[in-house]
Amino acid sequence: MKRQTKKIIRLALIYTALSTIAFVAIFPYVWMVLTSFKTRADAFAIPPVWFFKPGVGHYLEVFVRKGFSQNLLNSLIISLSTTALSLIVGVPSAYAFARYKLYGDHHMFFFILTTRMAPPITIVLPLYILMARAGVLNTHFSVIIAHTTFNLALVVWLMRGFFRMIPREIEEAALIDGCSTFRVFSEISLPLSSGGLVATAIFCIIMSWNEFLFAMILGGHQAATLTMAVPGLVTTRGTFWGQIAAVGTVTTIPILIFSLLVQKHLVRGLTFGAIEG
Amino acid sequence: MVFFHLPTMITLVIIAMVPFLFALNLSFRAYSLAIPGYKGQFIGLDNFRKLLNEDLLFWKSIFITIRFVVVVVVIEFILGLGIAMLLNQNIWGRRFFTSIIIIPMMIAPVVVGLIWRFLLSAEFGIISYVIKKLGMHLERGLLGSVHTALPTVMFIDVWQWTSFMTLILLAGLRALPREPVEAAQIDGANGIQIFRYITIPLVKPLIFVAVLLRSIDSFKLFDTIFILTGGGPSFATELGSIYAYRVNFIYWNMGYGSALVLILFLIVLVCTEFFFFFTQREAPQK
Repeated sequence: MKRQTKKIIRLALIYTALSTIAFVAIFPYVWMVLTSFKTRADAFAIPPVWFFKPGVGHYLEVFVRKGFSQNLLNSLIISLSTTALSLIVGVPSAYAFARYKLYGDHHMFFFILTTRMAPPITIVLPLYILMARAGVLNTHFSVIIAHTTFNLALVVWLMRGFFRMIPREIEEAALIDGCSTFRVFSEISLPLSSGGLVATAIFCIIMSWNEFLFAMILGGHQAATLTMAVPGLVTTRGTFWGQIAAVGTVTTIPILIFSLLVQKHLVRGLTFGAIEG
Repeated sequence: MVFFHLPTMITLVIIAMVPFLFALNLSFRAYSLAIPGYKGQFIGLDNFRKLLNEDLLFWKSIFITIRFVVVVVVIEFILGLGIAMLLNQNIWGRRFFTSIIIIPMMIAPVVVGLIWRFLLSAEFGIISYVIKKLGMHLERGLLGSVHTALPTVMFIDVWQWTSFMTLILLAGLRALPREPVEAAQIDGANGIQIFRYITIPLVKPLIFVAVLLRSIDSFKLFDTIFILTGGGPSFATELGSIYAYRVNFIYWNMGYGSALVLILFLIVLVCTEFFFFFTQREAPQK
């Protein structure tokens, strides 16, 4: 009996702690989502209001009248393009790193990592000047290229780990049967790691979608992504918090759904495959 | 096999190697897209000399960055470990709680910055409202005052990234072998002893990776701070990357700015080197 009580108290404490933590983690976000459905008066009410009549006025204002649908489209174009580019370029390399030892390839592997670790401001400065000279500033192209600097590293490091999980024997059997290395890669290893491929693609999309500095400096207004365009609602004539909340909600919802899809691989993605979560 | 590497090699040369060498070259020159007379003439190590010897704002930003990194990484580690241990119990709803607490780090940093600006706004922010109710008076809000701005942005970073530590440490705790703990229990070790002498040494590699990655990422933090304070008030939250942004894209002093971003890169490079050797040693070729 006494043991039972002790166990219940312990559980109660754990759940109280976890609920508090969950509340702190999620409250700011929930507050933003609520604000996006409030009228102007409700959003600025003091004391703040929890219950109100919801409306979609802010959404209509930004996405229909203010042209944020174009920014949404830009975000889509840029994140999908950089993901495709990084995968096409990086996956074969990841496979080679996973399966073959070449002279000096760990130097290259390290170099790839530095492109992900380098401060964004270090990467963006030379890119800005070079792209200005090439006349490609303020285009989707410039942002896609810039985002590939970190996504390529992510692809190579993550996919190497996924390829290593395939049992070697399967590939060796195919090689003995007379398959070329390329056919083993494209017809056996690639399909076998499709789950990892999808997870890697999702991580690339998230990274690019959430990125801000490159988009701001290289994309300008012509290729402005959602993250680049939202701060524009903080103006000298006042800040449109309701509209910011609306854009913020639309910016985050797809990413939250994606992150649930890859939750199983999240640790791997966050540590570039260094830790198998 | 070289063919497999060819696309990556070519791409890296174009998007990483060439820009890097370009910045390196620029750091020895007086170059600007806006300042008259800065046409790219070679000035040797002058930029680096000025930066390291005379630029007080540079040193100030470096010290603020170090303070920022040390404080947030230590707090995130302690909180992250605590939460990971809570989630490591065999309880119902663990996956649900995990899904909730990872939300902050999946939100775009720009949106995080704007959310907190709204919550902390001096006139109508809900947190400012609560603070006022508690009897404290803050005229310009927590972000607007020199003394509270840095702790506030630290707090926001902790809010956003603690779950990063939690996830990695949780992965480590869950992968722990059962036997050492059971053996220690039979030998009569108590909970604290087991934690100190068995759990911690076994998850040490993961602690190392988590702390190192968070240190690198918080060192180069830009987006959130740029939105929250822009480095102000009066440089109180001006991290290295914010200062580098100002030198390059507000003053357009890009020769000098190249030297600056290369120094930031060098610091990160050393940490990356640690990460690389450590993880590659831990994960031998299978």
